[in-house]
Amino acid sequence: MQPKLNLKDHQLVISKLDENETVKTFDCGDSDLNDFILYESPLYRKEKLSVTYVLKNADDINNEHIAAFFSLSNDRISLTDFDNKTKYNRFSRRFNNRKRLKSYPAAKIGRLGVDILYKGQGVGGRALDFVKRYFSTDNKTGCRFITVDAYAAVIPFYLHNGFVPLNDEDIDEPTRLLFFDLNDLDED
Amino acid sequence: MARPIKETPILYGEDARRFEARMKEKRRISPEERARINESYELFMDMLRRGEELKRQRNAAKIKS
Repeated sequence: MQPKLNLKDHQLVISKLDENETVKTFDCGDSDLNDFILYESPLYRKEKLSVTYVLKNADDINNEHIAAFFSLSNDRISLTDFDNKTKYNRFSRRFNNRKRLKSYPAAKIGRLGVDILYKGQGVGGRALDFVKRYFSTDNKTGCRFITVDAYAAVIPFYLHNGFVPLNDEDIDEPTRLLFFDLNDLDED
Repeated sequence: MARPIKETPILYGEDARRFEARMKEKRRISPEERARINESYELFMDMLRRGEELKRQRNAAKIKS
């Protein structure tokens, strides 16, 4: 029988992984996500590329059985009024400036995984909710969007949670870039 | 080795125009969705505070010993 994860249980904690911390076991059914959390997340932390948050029991000091994780990093969405990349590159080389490029700050969900023991209990959706408000009301700098490079199989999950495809260029690729506008959370 | 995360691309032409139009057009969030987001945030923030405090205490204990 699948163990029930009660997020209101005070025995559960979330912790940011330090560069000297490792996760001992985790299986969300996806080898790529497993590889990241088991072997690569400390390197990303050490190089200050992303911060990984793990959900686990308070007494699991050595991260033996984490239930879920997500990693976050800084991002931006940039746009230009040039019609295509060639025209933009030609202009940039010639005038050596980026004046005609607008950028909006964003936070990227690099990876999000829930252990197969706890799948189907809404933990992933709750994590998305948290990230949205974490960056809209609690942010140290400025952040307008949440971005994610989502696997094709989980795109419906992100769309259901208010994310929108950035463009149609990656429509047939194994992953697709999606964004969520944090202004959507503002009260009318 | 985990695959690299795709860089967020620069948007050009029609994609850029569509994106800016979307920015101006706010999606309406239902009261239920807003309540769920707020509840999730409070739950996760509580867990994060507890987790970080525990870690701080353990690190302090390590230094002492």
